Amino acid sequence: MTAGGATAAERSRAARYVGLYPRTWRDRYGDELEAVLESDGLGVRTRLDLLRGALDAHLHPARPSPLPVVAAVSASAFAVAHAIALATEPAPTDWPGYLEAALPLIIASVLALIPAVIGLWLKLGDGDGALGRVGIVLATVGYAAWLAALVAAATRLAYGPLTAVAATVAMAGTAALGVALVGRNRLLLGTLLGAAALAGVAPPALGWYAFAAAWTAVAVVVVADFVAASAASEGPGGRSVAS
Amino acid sequence: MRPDLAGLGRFAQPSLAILLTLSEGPKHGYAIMAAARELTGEPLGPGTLYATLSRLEDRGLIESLPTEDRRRPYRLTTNGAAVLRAQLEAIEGIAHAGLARLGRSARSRPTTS
Repeated sequence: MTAGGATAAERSRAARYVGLYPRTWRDRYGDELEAVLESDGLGVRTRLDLLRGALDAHLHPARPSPLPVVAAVSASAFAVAHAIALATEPAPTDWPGYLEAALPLIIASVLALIPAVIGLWLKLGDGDGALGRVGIVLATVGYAAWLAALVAAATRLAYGPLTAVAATVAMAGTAALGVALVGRNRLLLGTLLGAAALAGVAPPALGWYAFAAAWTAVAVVVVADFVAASAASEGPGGRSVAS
Repeated sequence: MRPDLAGLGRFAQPSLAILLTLSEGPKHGYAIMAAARELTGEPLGPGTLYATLSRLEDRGLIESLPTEDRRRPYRLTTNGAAVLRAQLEAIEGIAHAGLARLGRSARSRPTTS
C-alpha cells in the first residue's frame, strides 16, 4: 500500500510506534519514519524492530542524558555518607560487614548504582563487545540482587550469604565494565571502576571507605564527561558522536 | 574519524548496506530499505534503518537533503564515499586472498578415483 493509500487505522498505528521514540528524535526523524511505516506496513518483525529502535534512541539520545550522571553522583554521595556512618559508629557485631543503622545509606547507594553502571556501559558505544555485554548483565543483575538482599535484611525478612554472593556478582560485572572501558582507551575511568569493584569485595570497614572513594572519583569523571559532551552537542557539529 | 565501520557494532552491516545503496545516488528511507533488501537479500527494518542513518549522519558519512512530502532523501558525503571505498577494498582483498587459498587447497587435495 502506498503512503497516500494508508488507512486511518494504519496511520494511527504508525504514529503510535513513532510515539515510542524520544521527542527530540521524533522532531528530527518522526515524519519520515511515519511515511515509511505507512508505505511498508507493520508486520510483527517490523514492530519488534521498531521497539528495539525506540529503546536504542532512548539509550543514545541526541543530547547526553543527565540521568546516569545524577545516578553516579547520588551513588557516590550515599556511599560516602555510609562510610562516614561506619567511621563514626562502633563496629557492628550482629551485621557482618554492615551497620544496621547505616543500611538505608548503602541501599540508596546500590539503588543509584544500577542506572549509573548502565550509563557507564553506554560509554562503550555500539562496539561494546562481549566483555562489555557480559559486564552490564552481571552488574545490573548483581546490583539488583544485592539491593533486594539489603532491603530484605533491613526489613528483617532475611539475611544470609545471598547478600555477599549478589555483591560479588555486581563487582564482577563492574570489573568487566572497567576492563572493557580500558580496552576502549578510557584508562582512567576503567581503572577507577576496577578499583571500585576490588573495594566492593574487600573486607569492611576499609573496603567501604575505598568503595566510597572509588565511586566518588568515578562520579567526578562522569560529570566531567557530561560537561564536555554537552558542550560538544551544542557546538557547530550538532549531535556528538557516542564515544 | 575512524577509517572503518567497526566501531558501529551491530550497525556496521546495515551501515555498509546503506552506504552501498546511496552510492548510486540520493534515496529516501523507503527506497533505501527496498534497495538494501535487493542488494543483501536481508530485510532492513525501519527501526534499524533510522538508528543507522542517525549514526551515519553523526559521523558525517551521509547528509540529508530537503524534505519532499515527508520523505527526506539522503546522500553520501565525500567522507562517506571514501569510507565505503576503503570497506569494499578491504572486502575485495579478503575475497582475493581467500579464493587464492581455496584454489591452492583444491589443487593439493588428492583426487579420489
